[in-house]
Amino acid sequence: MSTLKLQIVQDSDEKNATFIFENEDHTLGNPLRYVLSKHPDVSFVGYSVPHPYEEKMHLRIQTKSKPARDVLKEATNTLEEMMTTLKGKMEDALREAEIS
Amino acid sequence: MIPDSSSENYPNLRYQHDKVQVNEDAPSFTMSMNDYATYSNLGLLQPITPDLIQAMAIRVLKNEQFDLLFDVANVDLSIVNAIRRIIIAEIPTVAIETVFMKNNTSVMPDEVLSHRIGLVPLKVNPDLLEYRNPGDPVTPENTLAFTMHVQCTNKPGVDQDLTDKLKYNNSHVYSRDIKWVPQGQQQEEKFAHSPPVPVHDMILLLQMRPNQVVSMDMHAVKGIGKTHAKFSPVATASYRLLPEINLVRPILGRTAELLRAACPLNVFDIEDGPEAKRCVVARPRNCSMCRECIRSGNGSWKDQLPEKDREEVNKSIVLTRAKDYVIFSVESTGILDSSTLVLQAFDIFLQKIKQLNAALSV
Ligand code: SF4
Repeated sequence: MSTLKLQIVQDSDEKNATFIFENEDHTLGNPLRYVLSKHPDVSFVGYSVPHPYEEKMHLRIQTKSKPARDVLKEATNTLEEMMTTLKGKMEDALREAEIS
Repeated sequence: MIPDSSSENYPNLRYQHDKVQVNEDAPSFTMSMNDYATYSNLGLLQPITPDLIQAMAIRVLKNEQFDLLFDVANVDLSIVNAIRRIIIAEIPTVAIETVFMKNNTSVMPDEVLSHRIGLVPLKVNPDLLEYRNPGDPVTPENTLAFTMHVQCTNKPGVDQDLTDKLKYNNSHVYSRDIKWVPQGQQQEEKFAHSPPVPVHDMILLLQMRPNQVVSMDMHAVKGIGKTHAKFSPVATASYRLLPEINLVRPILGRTAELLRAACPLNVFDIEDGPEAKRCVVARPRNCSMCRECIRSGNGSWKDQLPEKDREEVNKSIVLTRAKDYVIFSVESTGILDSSTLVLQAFDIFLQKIKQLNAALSV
């Protein structure tokens, strides 16, 4: 219904950036934070929803070497892979439960 | 490894990473430890590898149409929680949004009645309807019309000592009184194989007395739980961490008997041991983590033990919850099947990721 709008607040250094997600909240913020926190190049990651009335989520990324934007892209791909796999496993599990 | 709760040694990091320890007063190690920068040196954390992704596992325990119970293992809680949040708040359903009250002489105020009507789940396939955004015109493509007209009357010649239902006609107004009014032939054909009706016939909306009347038209639209809870497709969608009851040292004899009786959810059984009867954890999934088994102090089951045994027992029972194993339950309101809801939640999540990917590649 409402689609994501992304605004990037880039520090002078491209390794550090804050990504502002419009129309998103903890549902996307927390999994992204998790995947990024497991990324070897990330030195800091955190997210917040500054105000509950505003449909906005802030994601802060600071990296060791790669541009923050690229790291976020990698994390997005990892998350996509995880969710696709998990969905497949859910379908299998449901099918199995139907048979037995 | 389960640490001896009496030992001076601080439980090690691996343990803190894997478990929440439930103590008598408050739980410890509740935080999730997944910051790679901090813990990778300790060998505790790996980056997300294909192996870790493959290690994720799901097992369905109960697959009823509107009640699904499944286990999820080796998946971070942020992801499990995202699925739960999407099921509750982002899967569309159809509910009554506008009520045109033509007449209401009942004791229930218009707005209270309207609110109750809004909450009635409607058996409508949401795919057949478009969203109606603010300012959009009302069309047969985005709106379903319903009507309800009920008047309460006396049944002539009945004993006045009878109950309301026997004495009056229509003293109780139920959800089944809400009737669909097809708008145009196209809409009628589209919904022909499953005409829109409330999921349950017998939801009590209000009660009336003779000569009272309610009469209204209603418009139903498609929406999501984020906007209003009436659009939420589930009664509950929730998960809990797997409870683990660790008997670090055997509990024997009379103590075992007392412990078995103390648990309100019948988690323990007694087994014949080599020397004495011993307590075993037979139904850990029953456990609600009420903490009765580790409670000491007035009125606890340990009161019946000799002083010296109490210390021993305190050290013997350790309650933990697994941080990487959850029991997930999805109870649908009856509009969509529970299994459909979960799969749809995955699709919505993947769609979000796709949107993010698109936004990042410009
Ligand atoms: S925590 Fe409560 S339910 Fe769980 S085993 Fe102990 S007494 Fe039983």
